[in-house]
Amino acid sequence: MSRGVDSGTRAELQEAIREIEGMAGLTEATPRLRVGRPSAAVAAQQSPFAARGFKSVRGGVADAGPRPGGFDGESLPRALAIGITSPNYKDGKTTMAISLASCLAHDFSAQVMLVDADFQTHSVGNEYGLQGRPGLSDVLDGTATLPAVVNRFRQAPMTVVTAGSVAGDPARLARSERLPSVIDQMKDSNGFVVMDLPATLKSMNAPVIANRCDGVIVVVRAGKTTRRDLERVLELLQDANIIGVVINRQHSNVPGWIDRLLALPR
Amino acid sequence: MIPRKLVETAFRRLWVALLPVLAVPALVLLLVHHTSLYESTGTAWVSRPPNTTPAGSLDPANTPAKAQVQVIADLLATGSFRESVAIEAGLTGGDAPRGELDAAADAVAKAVAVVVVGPNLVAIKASAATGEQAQKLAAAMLARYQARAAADNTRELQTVVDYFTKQAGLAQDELAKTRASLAAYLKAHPGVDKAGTDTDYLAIQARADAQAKTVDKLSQSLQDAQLQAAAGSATARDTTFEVQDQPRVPSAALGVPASKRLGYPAAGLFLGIVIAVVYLYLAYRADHSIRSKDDLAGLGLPVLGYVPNLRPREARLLGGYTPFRWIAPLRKDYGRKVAASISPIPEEKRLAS
Repeated sequence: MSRGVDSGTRAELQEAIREIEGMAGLTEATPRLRVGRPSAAVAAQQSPFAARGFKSVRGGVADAGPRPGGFDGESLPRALAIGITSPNYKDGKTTMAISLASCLAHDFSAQVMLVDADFQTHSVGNEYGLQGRPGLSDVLDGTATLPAVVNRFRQAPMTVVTAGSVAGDPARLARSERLPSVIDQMKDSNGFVVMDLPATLKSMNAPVIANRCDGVIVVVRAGKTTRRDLERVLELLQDANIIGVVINRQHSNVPGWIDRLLALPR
Repeated sequence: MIPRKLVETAFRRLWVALLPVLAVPALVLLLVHHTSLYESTGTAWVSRPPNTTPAGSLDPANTPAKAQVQVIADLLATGSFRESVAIEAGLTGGDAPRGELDAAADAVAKAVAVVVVGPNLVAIKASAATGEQAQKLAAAMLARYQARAAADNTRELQTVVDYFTKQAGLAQDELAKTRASLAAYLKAHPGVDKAGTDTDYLAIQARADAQAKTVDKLSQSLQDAQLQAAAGSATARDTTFEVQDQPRVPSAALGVPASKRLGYPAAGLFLGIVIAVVYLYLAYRADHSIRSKDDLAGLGLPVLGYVPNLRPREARLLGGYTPFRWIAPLRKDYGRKVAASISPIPEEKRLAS
């Protein structure tokens, strides 16, 4: 599953990444996230998994090769549309999408749009108390324009687009001819578009929307997601540009001293 | 290199794996639990009991001791004898309910053992939770058997007396008849020569003399039997069962065999460890979930990052231990809520369409 890229495109990507890192001042030695502290700004700055995850994301994008509808190898896209999916629900894809979008906005001061593309669960809208607000489905249905459904946060360069209020067939919405143009429109006004996709094994809309993204991150839940599930996800997303995997809710039962003594692999 | 998943499996299921390691030896200890037992022993010199194979039998292995042991074993098989021993030992009262008597009789059967020490030496062993109880049991067993043996001897002697009494009576009657015949013959033949050659007279006279001797012999035997019976049962029983060593109160309990004290628990511990290892190995082999980068080998996918499990603080107290680890996931969408809390848009009022 090697996804090569020509040297010109790689150099161009790496240059852009260096610029982003220069803005953010991101370091590896970020302190550990303090669970239960609702101080948003501090917690976001202290989120090592998001920081490292994003650095890995851009690394994955740099390694990603040409793909239909994505990078053409000639020019670096102005913005990146990153889809977040998982094999099953409750694996943490919405958590990852929210965290990634938040940290992108905070750490890189980049304009970020968080899009709820899961027309069944409306997880992002529910999380932010935006239930019933018009969103992506309204735009795809043609009953609203994209600027009209954008929820903007005044104190950070981040916007949220809910799944929308149209009670239509999710499959029809996902296969809407408007979707590519809507995503392009999102990328026109944002540095990053983070899309919360449905669970791949639970909805056939996930591969459809994932194909429209520049890259897809698959979130697996440690100890729950099986390798067979992940292999089925990869089969379903074979036409998408999979950047990599994020292992969510990872925890270790091994005492630290035993871990060090046995030099266990990560 | 040891796979991380194997070590993780071991620690994640540590409590379950420890269960057989602790439970199996405990179960073994419970099963082979050995309470302190005291044993008291009395020995008896025995002769061949009545109504058994007589001395001089062709079977050299059938010693008097063995014959007595068989008799005692037969007695112990009867509930009435065990009850009498239990009452004698004070295990129960004579007026106790039937259930209590049966239980005491069963206890006697379990506690008493009769073994052959030598050709004429029998040991009666009784074990109990206390030394006094063991001594009482052994003493009661000896006393009851002695009483039983004495009763048997007395009954046998009485039978002999009855027999000789009857035989002597019959012989006396016969003698009287013979003498009456002789008198009748003399009356019918007044001139008979008593010292002569009258053969009929001589025959009757000889029969009368013989009958008189028989009567004398039977009378002597009857006198001997009556003398034996009158001599008392103590003398009679000593001829078959004589206590050599009275049972004493033991000063120390019986020792617990090393196999029970150490061997069985060690075997249980080994079995528990084997069960735990097999369980962990099966759990490791059956775990196909993704936990680390190793589990993604061959898929060609990079791991972008690891997100730690965000568990609620209050669940950490108990959630850190495997038996309570199931509590943490019950917190619905906790991780997502934490993620939303670190986002810059936590509340709707901060949003502007």
